Amino acid sequence: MDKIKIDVYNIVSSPYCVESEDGERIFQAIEKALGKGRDIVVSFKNVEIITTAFLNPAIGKLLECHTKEEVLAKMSFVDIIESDKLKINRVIETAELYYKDPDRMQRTVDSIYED
Amino acid sequence: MDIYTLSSVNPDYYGYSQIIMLYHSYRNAEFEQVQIKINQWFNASLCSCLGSILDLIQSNYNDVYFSFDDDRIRYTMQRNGFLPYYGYDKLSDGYNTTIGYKKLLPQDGKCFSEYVNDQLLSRNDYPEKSEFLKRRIHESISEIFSNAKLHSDTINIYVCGQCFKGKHQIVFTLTDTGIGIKERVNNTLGTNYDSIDAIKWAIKDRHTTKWGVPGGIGLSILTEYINENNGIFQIISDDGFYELKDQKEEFRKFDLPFPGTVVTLVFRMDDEDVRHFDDNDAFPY
Repeated sequence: MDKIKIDVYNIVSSPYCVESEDGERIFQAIEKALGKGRDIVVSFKNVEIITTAFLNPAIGKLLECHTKEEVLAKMSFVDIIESDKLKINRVIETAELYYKDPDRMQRTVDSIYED
Repeated sequence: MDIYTLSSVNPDYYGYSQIIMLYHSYRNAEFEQVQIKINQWFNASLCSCLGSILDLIQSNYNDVYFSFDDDRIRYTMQRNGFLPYYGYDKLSDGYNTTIGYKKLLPQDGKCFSEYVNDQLLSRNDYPEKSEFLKRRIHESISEIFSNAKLHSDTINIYVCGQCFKGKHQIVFTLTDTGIGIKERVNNTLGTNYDSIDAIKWAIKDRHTTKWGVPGGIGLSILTEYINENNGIFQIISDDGFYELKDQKEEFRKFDLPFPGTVVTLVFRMDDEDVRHFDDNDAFPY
């Protein structure tokens, strides 16, 4: 079965992936394809800037209903520079931790006194 | 009519203190004439936080007037588009050193990115700089804008910068007049942190006040960028002052609170020692 290509620039209509609302639109597109069991290629061709405010809803939110292994087995990222790949990596790791334990934030209250 | 003097204002504890005191001097005034004299020096990037508090002061029907002991300061503030908000003519920037003052809505994120690209990164001052460094500057500033949008509930976001060619520095300041980090963190966690502890909590990796979605890594990535660049990162929120400089952190308190949050970033444009990703950082997926 052919892979589904999601063209980020086309959906966001801008080289700047900085808005959480745009990230939500990318999430919807990915989630729909994942729901149909398809493999997905996410292309960042012509995208210049990607912030975590965009990536958290676009990619991180996928971890709410899918395991990291499932997401990574089904998805690949192309036309993207290494530092942005690393950023996606951190977003996925953070999201995995978050959804395993959504109440973790409440327990960070004393963390400022640990250093 | 009293004259309020701002003197030698830089993006440091004393510079911000003067702007905070100006706000508190007039925060309860109504139908007054506010005369501000700017003496000796005013770092133009701080037009961002000055504009934000003057909007609050003007919302009580106060009129704001400026005077200057040095016309060069006035010219700079006319060229960067700040003084035209107060009746002055806009001047063109023949020196090409200003980074324009803008008042944006939180939902203007993509417009803001275009502004950063046009005002900071497409200029010819640093043609030799790597696309990598320019991209990191753009990302850093965009992360700060996103933070203001997502966490402050502000009405406007005020931005301004200044290019110091001799010092090979770009200074950029972003201000909101939202609820501030202390209130936001305490509302989220049910804590009673003071402003400094709230800032300490907010800048920690994977800490976020946004419920329902993961987050909290934007500021961590930003501090890593600033450390690599040997730049400066400041947060002023409520009565808290935070500065990351030379990889050292400093926390101080102001006598009175700033009505929102100011973030200033200083990037070194002569620093080629920017870490590039090596094989150990390879994307594992």
